[in-house]
Amino acid sequence: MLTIERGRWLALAVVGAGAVALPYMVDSFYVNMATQALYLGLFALSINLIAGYGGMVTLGQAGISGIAGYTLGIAATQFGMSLGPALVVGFLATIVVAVVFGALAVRTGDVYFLMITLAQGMIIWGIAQRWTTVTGGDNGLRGIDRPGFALEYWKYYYFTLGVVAVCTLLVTLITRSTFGLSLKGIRESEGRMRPLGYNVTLHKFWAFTIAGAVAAIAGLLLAMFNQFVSPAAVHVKASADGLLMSILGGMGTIAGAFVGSSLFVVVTNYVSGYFDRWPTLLGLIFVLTILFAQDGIVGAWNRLVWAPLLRRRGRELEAERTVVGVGGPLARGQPVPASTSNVDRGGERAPVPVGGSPASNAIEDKVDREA
Amino acid sequence: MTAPEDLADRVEDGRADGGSPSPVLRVHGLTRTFGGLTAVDSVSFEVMPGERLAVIGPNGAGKTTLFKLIAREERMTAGRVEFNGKDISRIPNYELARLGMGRTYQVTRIFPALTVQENVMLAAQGTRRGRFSMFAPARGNSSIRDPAREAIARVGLEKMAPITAAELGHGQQRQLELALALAMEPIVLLLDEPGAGLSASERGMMRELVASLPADITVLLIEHDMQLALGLADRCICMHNAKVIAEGTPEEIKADRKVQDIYLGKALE
Repeated sequence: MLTIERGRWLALAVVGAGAVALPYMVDSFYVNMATQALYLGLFALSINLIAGYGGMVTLGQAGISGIAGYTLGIAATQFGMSLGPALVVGFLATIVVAVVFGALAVRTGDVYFLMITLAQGMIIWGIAQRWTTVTGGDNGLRGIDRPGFALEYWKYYYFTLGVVAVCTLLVTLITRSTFGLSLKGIRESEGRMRPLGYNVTLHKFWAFTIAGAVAAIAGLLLAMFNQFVSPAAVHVKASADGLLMSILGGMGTIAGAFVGSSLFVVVTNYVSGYFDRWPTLLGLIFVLTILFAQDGIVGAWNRLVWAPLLRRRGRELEAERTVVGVGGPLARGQPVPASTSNVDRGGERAPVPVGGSPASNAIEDKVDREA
Repeated sequence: MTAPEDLADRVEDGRADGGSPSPVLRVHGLTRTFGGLTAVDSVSFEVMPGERLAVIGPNGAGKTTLFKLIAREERMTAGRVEFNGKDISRIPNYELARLGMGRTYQVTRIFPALTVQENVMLAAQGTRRGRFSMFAPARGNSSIRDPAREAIARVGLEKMAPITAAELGHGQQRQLELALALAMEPIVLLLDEPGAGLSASERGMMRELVASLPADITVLLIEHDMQLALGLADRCICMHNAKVIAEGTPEEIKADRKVQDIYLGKALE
């Protein structure tokens, strides 16, 4: 029988198999497009982590991501470091910058957070543009190598696929952890979180730093893919593109980042070959998304296809178990008498005789809305 | 940082077993002015462990401001609040939660877009170790899930656990609000008008719910409805124009002339 859980795994397996089989099915042009969609998706995911889960909309993430690419380029070309150590240096430098930027930015919220991250991104862009002796200015930095085992386009695709899959898995785990739930709480109501015992600023700082680490990986993958970094990679437009992908795919969803980046890459690389007004098309798609599906493509999918399926499934299970239906007067269960409670703070906790009904366990999947 | 195992210590701090118990909450000369307006005027009282204290008084008497001052949501102009003998007048309010103070709001403050289960788990994990745990799934953490389930069961929302909080009725949202506070396993619980906006029958159930809270939780209750407040409380404080004008058992309060004057025209049984 096809259950919700199995359906989800099946979908993931199909997408995974398709991703692995891709280089056998299409030529280098499309494989390179897929590579771009992957690292851009990871970049969008880093934005999604703080914006979609943490509620902090950033316009400076490309600056942070670009620190990784530039440090890699500088280490490799100016200091002649080999790729391995240069990657490590690039990653660590990005973390340091993310920590400093995060410490400044998380003290604010809403539009102020947006403005501060925008300014931070512009600082990085300014340095990339003006400090020509180190960054190469407008010309950027050439001569960044790919790993020796991933020189050809299809090998680099698999390399990217592997790295992105591992990072996505880690981010998925984070979003489902207690920390991830706290982030959602902060997104919903910062003010309510403090009286519950949360040091909100510290949580936001951690989220910002983790997102910085994810953006660093994406930045390194981009620099190695192009074998080149330039100020365009750290420009505010790159940050805005990432935000756009994130919104198109669906804020607060894991899959959304990749759906958004795929759509973006297809329009910018493929459609642009046939249609000169492709930025208009992209704008149109964006406007339509905001008008009709603010929760993005994945959000709309969840809302229109997934949720009704879950509801039907929940009803079926409930009918099977003939449990009382949902929705009723206040206090449907009588309050638990004090005697049966186990608010016994001194000793061990007795097992709680509650346990959700099988039906509620099934619908519990609604909890994680990531497709 | 307060871990579940510290809870035992926290309780013992509050109640010196055998000896004479010390107050769990001591409010001294608490004052708050807004420009020329004095919202709370040198209010002092003590609350013993396990006690149910109701703060009553007409609209604008300063009850909610008093709660905000105790809960460190509002800066105090003067005075001092001690919680378990510790001065809490200056600490951030998230620290207060970890010391064991939980509270509900007059206007429901929940997380509407999250499910009931997620709401209560957030409350449960805020004061527990592991809230920075990043790679273990939240639902797999029994030290957080179990108290959350227990709190949901206590307010009778088990069936609603997977439902988005926004989909609940107002009464159920009030129950959820209480569950959030209970999941923190507080030593002191501040309830700001738990019956606000409820129908008569719902108020009755809320009253039963509050009455059935574990005896070791100290409850401070603001209530408009004298019937509800006096029925639940061991002791009452009546506030009027920012000041405490009467203090005593529910019977003494009902018999108090000043209180009767304030509530003139209201049924006192």
